[in-house]
Amino acid sequence: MIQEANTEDQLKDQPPAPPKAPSTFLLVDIGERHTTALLIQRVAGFCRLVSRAAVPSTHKSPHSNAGDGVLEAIQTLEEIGNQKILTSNNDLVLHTEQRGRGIDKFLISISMERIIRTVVVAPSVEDPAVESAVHLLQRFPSKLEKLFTGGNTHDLIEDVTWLANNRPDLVLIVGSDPRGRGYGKQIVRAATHVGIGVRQFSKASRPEVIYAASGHWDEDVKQALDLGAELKTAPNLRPDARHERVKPVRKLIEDVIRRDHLSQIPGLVEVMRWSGEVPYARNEGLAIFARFQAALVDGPVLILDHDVNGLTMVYAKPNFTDLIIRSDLGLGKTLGQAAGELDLAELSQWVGTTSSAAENSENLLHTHMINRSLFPNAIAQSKQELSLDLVMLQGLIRKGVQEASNAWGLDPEVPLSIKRLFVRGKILELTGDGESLILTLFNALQLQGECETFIDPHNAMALLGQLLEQEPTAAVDVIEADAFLSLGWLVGIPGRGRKGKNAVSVELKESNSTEPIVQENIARGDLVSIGLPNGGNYEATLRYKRIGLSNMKTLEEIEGFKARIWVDGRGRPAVLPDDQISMWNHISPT
Amino acid sequence: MSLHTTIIESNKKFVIHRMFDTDSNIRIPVSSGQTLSPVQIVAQAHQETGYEIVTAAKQLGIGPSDLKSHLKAQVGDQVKLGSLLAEKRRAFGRSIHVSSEVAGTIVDIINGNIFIARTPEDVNLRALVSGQVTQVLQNKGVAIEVEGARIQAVWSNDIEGSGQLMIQTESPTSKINMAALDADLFNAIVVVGHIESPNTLHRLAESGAKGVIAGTISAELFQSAAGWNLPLVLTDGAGFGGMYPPMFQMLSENSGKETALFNGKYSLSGRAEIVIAQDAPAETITSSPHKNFSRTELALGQTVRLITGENRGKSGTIQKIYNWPQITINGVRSKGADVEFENGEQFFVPTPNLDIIM
Repeated sequence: MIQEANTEDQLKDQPPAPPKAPSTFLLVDIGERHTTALLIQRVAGFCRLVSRAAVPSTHKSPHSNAGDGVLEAIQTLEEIGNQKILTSNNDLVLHTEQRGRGIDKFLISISMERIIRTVVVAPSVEDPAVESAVHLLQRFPSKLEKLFTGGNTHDLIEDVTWLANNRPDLVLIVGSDPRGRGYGKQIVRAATHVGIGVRQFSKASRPEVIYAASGHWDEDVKQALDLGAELKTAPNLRPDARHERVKPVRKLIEDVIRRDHLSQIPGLVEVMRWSGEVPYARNEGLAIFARFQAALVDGPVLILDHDVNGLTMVYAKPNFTDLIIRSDLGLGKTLGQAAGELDLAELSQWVGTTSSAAENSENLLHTHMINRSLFPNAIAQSKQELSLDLVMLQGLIRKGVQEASNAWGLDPEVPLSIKRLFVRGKILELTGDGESLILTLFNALQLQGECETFIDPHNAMALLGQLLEQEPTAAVDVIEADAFLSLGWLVGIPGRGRKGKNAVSVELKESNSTEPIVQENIARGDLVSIGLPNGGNYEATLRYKRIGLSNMKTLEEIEGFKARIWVDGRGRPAVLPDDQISMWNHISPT
Repeated sequence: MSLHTTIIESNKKFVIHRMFDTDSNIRIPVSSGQTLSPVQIVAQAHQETGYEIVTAAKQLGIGPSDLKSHLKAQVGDQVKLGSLLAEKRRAFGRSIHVSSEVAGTIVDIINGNIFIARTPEDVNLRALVSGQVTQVLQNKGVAIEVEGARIQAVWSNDIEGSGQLMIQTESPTSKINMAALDADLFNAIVVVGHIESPNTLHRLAESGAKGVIAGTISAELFQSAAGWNLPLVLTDGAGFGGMYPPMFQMLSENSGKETALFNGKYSLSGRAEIVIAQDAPAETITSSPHKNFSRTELALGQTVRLITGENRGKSGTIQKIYNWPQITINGVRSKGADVEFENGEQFFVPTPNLDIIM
């Protein structure tokens, strides 16, 4: 329950203050592993992240109450930030004019999600709408259980029995505009089977059915389904091969997930009553954040959120944002199964040479992945274990990004070019130092070109994404000031060349100065990191060497702090065993 | 930080829970204070078992629209196995019958087909261990007080069972005695240090054993073990390291005793557990550690084992606790403790890598 602070603080007699911009924000994310609380305050006109607390989430047994974790996180925040947020009865204090008490705005997001079991119905497998539907469903923690098409729904009994015995959560009916006679009959037949199957359930337990196919068969399909008002409809998801209308369908699916999902998380309904807020889906916040970054740099941006319950990838460029969740590529209990789906023989070639000669790396990696699935919170205790962790991460991210490439309009075999990269999650705990993380990112993404890279140690991206929608000025203040740690610039050199041959020259100088403080030629096959002096602004000029020409690129306004310029001189794409190099040569300005 | 803990206890009274995670249609056929035998049913769930579709019109050789006049049962009727659903009379007094092959309720008749929702089946949850009901958890299950020994495992293949504990290995790290596979393993819960051959899995499955407890299993067998139809519990995980010695010691001391393998799905802890009934008077009562919202904390002198790395399974005691994050050899910042191991070695272990032996 939100409690107005003035009831407790006896401020009743004070005159009402004029409306002012909110100055204290409490943002809470209830995650699968951790519940994170961020406190943002306006200080001297600018909003700053003043404290952050993370405690283990409590929605699962033995606690089975998400609210316990939320309360503990806020109490911890109070202790750290010296900010009174709760009353003695654990009610929230809504902000007063007094500094140091209460909050103005409270946002909650949830990121632990039940897998939504889905069925897609379409006229034929080749219909472009199928591709759109599969892609759309990847934006949610979903699993496509079955595709019903005119081509594969010959046996009514088989189909209806399957539906009746495998109750899906969601049925999505899609289909582009007709292509010739008989095309509509196929979707009507599939819909008939699905309708009979769905109607076998009592109304309360029926799967949600969404119709987002061509209007040409609208009436016939609705009649075949015979679901009356239960059927949700949206404009055609894929009217033709070149056009997609994702938003309305996505909104319907989000509503279904939000409604069905929230009620199943123990204690969450009570949290909503207590806080007076309806939680956001964490992914919405991530997508907004990615869009903002893509607009800022006017180019492609990638977010990797790799945690126990999945790999979430957000790829955004101006006018395009796509979010894909791979719950099968997480760092938790699915690891054992993922080990069976990765090419461990090839992947294990990346394992460092510290592994015992007697034991084969493939088996070591397989064993390691299964044990990580049993103890997902463990962190590498030795160099060899770190090497296994890094290779495991590399394999999972590589698989996720390659399989997402088509949806992003990219060729999976072409090295990735992005302007900004944000990394969050357990991947940061596993990789430890920046050096290992960067090597893993280079190997997994096969980056080429220049990419500014940040980590999100506070789990702030999604929450700030939501704040961007509600209080953009406050969110931008925090994003620009202190929410993220820069790892520097990752530079991947395109193409391949003979090892030892000059690949790029890097010249580093202070902004507005002509005197270089570092001049370095980096050869093919080398891994070089260039440090920046603390403080000040710098400018780096990269001159790529190519036969007969030079390609120059300038990185401007690099802030000298902990960030470095990381240059990977190995070939693109990587070739084993030549590119199994892990030693960085660190260069610092003299 | 949530700490990983493992209970290894002997000669104790403790409470286990046997309960379903759904709260509908659960019948509890026992009452508080009742003494239980391992085979006794403590909770029954009424579970939906799907549908049967009878192609009545097709079987009668008539069109879907003609079925109505041949029906002998209607929507809403309850039918038994063999109940007449439809009939078509033929010449000379002969007729074609369509009968139900399942018991259930007719829920729909569409397009010449009769849809029968099968009668829900009872899924029985047995005690698997001797004990006394201390609490009936309405619409869930029961809490049972048990006298004996308990070991929490790290993994099970989700199948539960009970039998007589039988050690079939030389040491915590050894494979099964191959001669044991020819011996009579009827009703045995077989204990082995390590399983590395698919042949061992096959032979054990055919031996009449009621379950297997192993320390470790080779990675390449893990997936097939997950689909094995005999209860399998791992105390340590994948690899070749075998079983944590104190667990092996406790199992060896209790050879021959009635033992239950729980999969964790029907308990509060969610952990796979081995529970051994003991005759000796139990020392103390350990109440459920999950009653209240509390977190376990590290303490000096605590016995811990490592759950990762080359020293995985090694046991030691906590000598110093760091309340501020330390930087590990790999540059990871983590809280943790200095642990002294049995060989005298002492080093820092990050908290997430510690398994506290309770």
